[in-house]
Amino acid sequence: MLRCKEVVELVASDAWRDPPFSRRFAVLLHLALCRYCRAYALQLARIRATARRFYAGIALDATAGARILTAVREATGRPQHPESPNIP
Amino acid sequence: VTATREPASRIAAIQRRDPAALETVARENLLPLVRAARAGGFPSDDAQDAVQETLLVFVQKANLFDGRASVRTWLFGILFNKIAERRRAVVREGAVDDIEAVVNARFDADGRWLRPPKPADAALTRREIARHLEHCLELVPDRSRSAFLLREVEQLETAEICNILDVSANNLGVMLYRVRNRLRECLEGKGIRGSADAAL
Repeated sequence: MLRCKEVVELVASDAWRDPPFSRRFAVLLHLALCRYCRAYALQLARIRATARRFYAGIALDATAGARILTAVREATGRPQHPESPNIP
Repeated sequence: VTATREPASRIAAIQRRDPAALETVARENLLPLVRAARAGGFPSDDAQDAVQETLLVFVQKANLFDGRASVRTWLFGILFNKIAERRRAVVREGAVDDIEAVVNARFDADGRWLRPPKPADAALTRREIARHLEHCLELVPDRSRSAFLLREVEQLETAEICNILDVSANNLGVMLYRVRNRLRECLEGKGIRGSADAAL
């Protein structure tokens, strides 16, 4: 059986996802049997979920977004208002 | 990697620098790029400038896009070159604690838990945890935070992240190991634990 320290290393580095399948199975088996390693893995999963929410909350104010897209549009050579051409 | 590849028609439109296609790419990737710039250590206003520069480089060089990686990976690549330039210019990365030693001290000589993860503090709300995580994220090195974002938030494949950050798969594993343990130790220090049997 894998030692706890090895499980922590494999889980935190994502190496447990790599082949061989036997090692992946050994990690899952260890997690099923060891409540401390399971707690550790659950905490990493919580951190992942919280980080996703945190980064999803990073917004760009409308002015900044519009400024950037205008700069991009100018660089592509596209007219600024294709729907309403400036014809008197 | 194949899952994020672009359809051939889109690759062709980007390569011939079709204005509508380029603008769509810019629009779709605005927020992911801002997040990545922030994760890379840019303060808010500088992050916006970095994103604009990245998109202008993209427009300029769109004819060179080969479609082997997704367009987002390509944009991240441009952005992380800028982040690396900034890091060389700013040179900070102050006192970095030795996270390996901190983790090792939790185990005995046989690799068994000596100080296991602590049980949950049920009193903390989700919002408080988010606030603490934000603070803990500020304490980790920019590069580790970038690796963490690309894996955990953007959910990119290992090969793509290695390509963007210019590191080996082994290096990426070490970076992820360090940043996840740094964040976990930091949050545990603030009383955020998550019990052994807690549901997600």
